[in-house]
Amino acid sequence: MSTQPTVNSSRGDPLVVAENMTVGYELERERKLLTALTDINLTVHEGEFLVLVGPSGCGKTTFINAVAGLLQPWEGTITYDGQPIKGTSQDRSMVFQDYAVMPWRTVEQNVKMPFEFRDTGLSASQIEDQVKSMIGNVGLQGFENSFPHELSGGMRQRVGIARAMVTQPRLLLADEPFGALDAMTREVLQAQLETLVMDAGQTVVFITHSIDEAISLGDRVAVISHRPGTVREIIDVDIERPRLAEGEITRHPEYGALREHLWGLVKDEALGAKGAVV
Amino acid sequence: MTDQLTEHESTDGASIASQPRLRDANWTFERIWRRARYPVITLINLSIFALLWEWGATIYDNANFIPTFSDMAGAFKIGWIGGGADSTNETFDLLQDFVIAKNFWVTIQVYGVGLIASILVGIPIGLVMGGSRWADAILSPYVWTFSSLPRIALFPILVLFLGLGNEIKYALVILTAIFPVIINTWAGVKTTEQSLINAARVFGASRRQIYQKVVLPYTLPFVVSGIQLALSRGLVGVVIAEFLTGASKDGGLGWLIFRAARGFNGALTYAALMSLAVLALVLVQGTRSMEAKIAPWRQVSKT
Ligand SMILES: Nc1ncnc2c1ncn2[C@@H]1O[C@H](COP(=O)(O)OP(=O)(O)OP(=O)(O)O)[C@@H](O)[C@H]1O
Ligand SMILES: [Mg+2]
Repeated sequence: MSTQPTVNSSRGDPLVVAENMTVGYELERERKLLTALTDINLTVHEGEFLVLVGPSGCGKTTFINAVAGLLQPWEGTITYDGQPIKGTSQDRSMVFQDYAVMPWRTVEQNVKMPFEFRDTGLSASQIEDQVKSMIGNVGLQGFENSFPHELSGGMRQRVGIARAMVTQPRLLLADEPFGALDAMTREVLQAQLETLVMDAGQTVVFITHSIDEAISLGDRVAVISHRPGTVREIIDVDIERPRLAEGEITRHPEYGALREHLWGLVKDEALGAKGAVV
Repeated sequence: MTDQLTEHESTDGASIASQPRLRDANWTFERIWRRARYPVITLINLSIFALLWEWGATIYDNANFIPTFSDMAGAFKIGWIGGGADSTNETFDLLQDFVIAKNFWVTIQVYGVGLIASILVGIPIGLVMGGSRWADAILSPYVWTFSSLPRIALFPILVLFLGLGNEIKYALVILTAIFPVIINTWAGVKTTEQSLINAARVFGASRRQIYQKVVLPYTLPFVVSGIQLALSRGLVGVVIAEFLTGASKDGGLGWLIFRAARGFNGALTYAALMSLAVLALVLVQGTRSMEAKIAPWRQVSKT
């Protein structure tokens, strides 16, 4: 693919920079260290929509956990705005793969949570308004007072999305945020997210298993290799926006070739991952 | 109701218009039945039980071992609301007015104080053990040893220290009731979902806030199940303590059962036993509904 972006030439300054980063988990029971990602070099630019794809277990979630500040790198560095990431920050918000909504809180209380622990400088009524409108944006109006166990899986996921976006974070980390949604809702939310990216210049790191979703949304798509994960290839998606408002991005002349290329890479890695198990 | 229905049908004939009405009537009956069926079934069940008891006891014909249901009910009435004890010799006949109520109150006091102490002490211990590796490492050998040990085996030693008064009763209730509270609280803290903690961290919660806003609410239903266990275990503790301490007068329900049985007063024995069963039932059902109210998200199935 072309290395010089033609359409997204407005790519901003580096926001998140991972250099030779190796990170993993301590397996307490077995007293072993598990390397999830090794030697990662990846830059997220301001205003960019970066998509991560790769086989299950390759370390995508681990990467955004490191960006969020939930994990510290074992080797190498990861910086945000030039500063090493030491902990979590109001700038960086996250949609969790397993939703992670608090079961004892109503939809509204869950969405309001980000305002509870940090001072955003908003008044109580402003917060109220923002929460209300965010709940509306994800189509949960009328369910403000429902508890998560009274909702469907897709609705719970939308609570997680609303909670992550309600503070209008500078960087949105989204871990398969549309995974549990029906095709219709998914398309609506994809289009909304694209609008947000275009209007507000939102920076997004987005994980998906869907190649179509990766191409529809991403400015760049990073393919992570199987465990221990590393960046196999980064692909530019030079298709002008809006891609989703008009619909039928699949008819774009570049689409087919991109899809085929990505598919080849991902399949390769998935098969490689299987081989590694045997 | 049936009259109205037939009248209605006769005026309207078998027309379609009458059908909703018919269905309506059916529905109401079904609804009433659906609401009432469990109490009704229970009532029938209990009546059959009482009848079988009466009949079986009459055939068995040994009132010291198995009194008839009606004798038991008589003793129950005298023991609770009085007005019928005709004995003049108080020292030899246990069945005095209000004797069950008095002993019930004795039991409840010891049991209640012991339980409250177990809960108030057990929850913090469980929280600390769950939250701190050090506390866990230091305390868990004791907790696991004591909770596995048949607590009653400690009785002879406890007697040396505490004598045979109320103190040993409290001790036995606490020893039986506190461990389920500690262990369940500990388990709740330990199993708090990591992703919920991560979410709280991402949104800026401090360690303290994570504990308050995630770990504690997550642990609460575990604590409730711990208390539920403590209620039944503690009841065993208090009854055994009352068996063993042997007061001269009004030593609690356990004492009353023991004495009444030894004195071959079958009716009173069973009446006291019934009172104990009702108490246990009320407590268990009470905490069951408490659990459903406190943590509706953990309700697996409804009955
Ligand atoms: N909390 C954890 N403790 C120990 N090991 C973990 C933990 N989370 C993930 N891992 C390991 O790290 C590796 C990478 O996991 P990660 O969740 O980042 O994968 P992923 O790419 O997000 O996969 P998926 O697409 O299935 O979500 C996995 O092999 C897993 O075994
Ligand atoms: Mg993942």
